[in-house]
Amino acid sequence: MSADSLNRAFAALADPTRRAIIARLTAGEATVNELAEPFDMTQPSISKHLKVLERAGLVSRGRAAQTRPCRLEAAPLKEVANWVETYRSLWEERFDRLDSFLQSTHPKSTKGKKNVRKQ
Amino acid sequence: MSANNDKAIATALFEITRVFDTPRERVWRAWSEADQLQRWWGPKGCTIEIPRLEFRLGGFFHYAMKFAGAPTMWGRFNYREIVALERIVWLNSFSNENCGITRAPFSDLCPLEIENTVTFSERDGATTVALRAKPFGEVAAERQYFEDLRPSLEQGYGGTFDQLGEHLAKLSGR
Repeated sequence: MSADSLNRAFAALADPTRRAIIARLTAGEATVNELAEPFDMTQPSISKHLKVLERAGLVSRGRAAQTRPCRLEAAPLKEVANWVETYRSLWEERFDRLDSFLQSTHPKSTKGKKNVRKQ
Repeated sequence: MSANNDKAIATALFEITRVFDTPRERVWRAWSEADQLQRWWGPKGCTIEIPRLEFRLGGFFHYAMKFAGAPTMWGRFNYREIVALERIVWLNSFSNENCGITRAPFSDLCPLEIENTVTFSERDGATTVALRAKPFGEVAAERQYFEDLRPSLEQGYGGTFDQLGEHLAKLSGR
């Protein structure tokens, strides 16, 4: 996988509908009809989203059956996951250093709380 | 959570949040002044030298990363948005010694540029720093293409971000 294809994968995943499609496909193959069902969208709109996912190599479609079921391509998703994990550890370390630095220059502060998630 | 935050989460894949028990103004300085950035920006095990810091819209932060016994690596920020005490948006990439953009010296798999957005908010003297990131490039065209569809998509899929996160975590064996 090249950096360009990683970019393409991220571009594809930037859209919430496409992430929803990916999430649905983690449960198994599905046809366009099945994918369109939970969305308030026409089938052609869903098909456009699928094309972006296909171009990014994240989804492939069966050739044999007329319904051409969609399925996930695990390898590129794993590349995305690897990048995210690498970037996460980079920032975990960086925030650790920032925390130490702030403490060393701001006597009143105590240990920072780690990884508090909002929402 | 504000609509802005919702939108941001819907368009970024990577998010990390940390609470620092330090007032916001102090944290902001750590992000905006060269002698402060030098002390923590890292990465681990390297000394940072900063030939250039223009902390303004369109300005560059250019830094050398010096590891013992290894060639110097260079990196740069290009600032795209600065709202004092609130947020900074910048493109981060590797660079040469003249601040020209380059690929990562160790891997072709690193995105050329990463768009980072950091926001700061303070409560009871503690500052929450939230960082979101995504590879930059090729994104704009496709995003524009789908912008027309967006209004019909905005509701009801908040949970999918978490699902995807879980799925990706599973893939990476966590």
